[in-house]
Amino acid sequence: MECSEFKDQLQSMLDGQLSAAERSRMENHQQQCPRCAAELGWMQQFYGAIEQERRVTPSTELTDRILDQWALNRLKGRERNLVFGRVERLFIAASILIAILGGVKIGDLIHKMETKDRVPMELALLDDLAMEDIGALIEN
Amino acid sequence: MEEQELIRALVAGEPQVFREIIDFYKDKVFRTCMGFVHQREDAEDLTQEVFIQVFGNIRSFREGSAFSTWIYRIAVNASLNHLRKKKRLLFPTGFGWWTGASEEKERTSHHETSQSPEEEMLASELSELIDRSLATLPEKQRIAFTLSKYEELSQKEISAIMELTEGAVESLIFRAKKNLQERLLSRIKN
Repeated sequence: MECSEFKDQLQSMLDGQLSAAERSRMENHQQQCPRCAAELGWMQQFYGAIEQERRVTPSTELTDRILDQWALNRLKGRERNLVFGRVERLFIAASILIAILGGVKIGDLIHKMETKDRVPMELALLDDLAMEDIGALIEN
Repeated sequence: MEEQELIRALVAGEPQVFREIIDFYKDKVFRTCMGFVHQREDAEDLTQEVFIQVFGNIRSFREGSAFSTWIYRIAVNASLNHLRKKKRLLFPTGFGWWTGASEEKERTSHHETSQSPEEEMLASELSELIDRSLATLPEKQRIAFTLSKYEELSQKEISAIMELTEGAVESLIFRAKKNLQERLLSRIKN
């Protein structure tokens, strides 16, 4: 067996996918080639370390920690809703008040503008009377 | 309570089943997170984050679909987000893979304290080796490899989590192993 073939088959060997005959050829090569044996050893160490990590378990208090955090989050959420709800209600009330006051003010301004441009009726009547008097004087 | 009953009760918003749900899925979620972060403390924080997300978003879970698929997906996303944040924080000095320097000097061991200092050091070095090797893989290869190796999920289960075909998952795992072998063996040569 050549080193390149050993390398190609290495992963299959680690995955346990080789037949007994193929495995035996690999083992023979490994005994004759220290470099390939070192490479196999290195790969086995890597996968062994993964296996070791797989066996690490979480601490026993983790469940309680998660439940405590969940309860805390819910509490914070409720507080936030409560505060936000109050602020929201105040904001709506303030908006309505501003709208009413604004409406009144605008109405007042429009009214003032209209009365400013209009000629008072009394003055208009006086003017008509004056014109009639002037007309009478001219005729006489 | 059976798993399906537990999920139905959870979806119905019954908080008394939360503890049972955590106990049922805690190890699976923790192992998945561990496969990405390789540190017990980080994996526990992520497990906590995953369950908070599960409880908070239970209404968006579609009954009839697999709960485990949904929870694994949340665990993978939370882990990847954690790694992205960490990468951003480490970027100015994070070239340990190339320089051979440790990325995190204050790395804490995730192994049991009953180990001897030598064993702890070796375990920590191997943990760093796994971390660095997996970090070089493209994201999809990394996810498929991690779910296959740490959770020993079938290609069918992984394909459901990653929303890919089984063939695509098989190819991702094959390429991930090939890439890892090349990178690890090139380290011996150097």
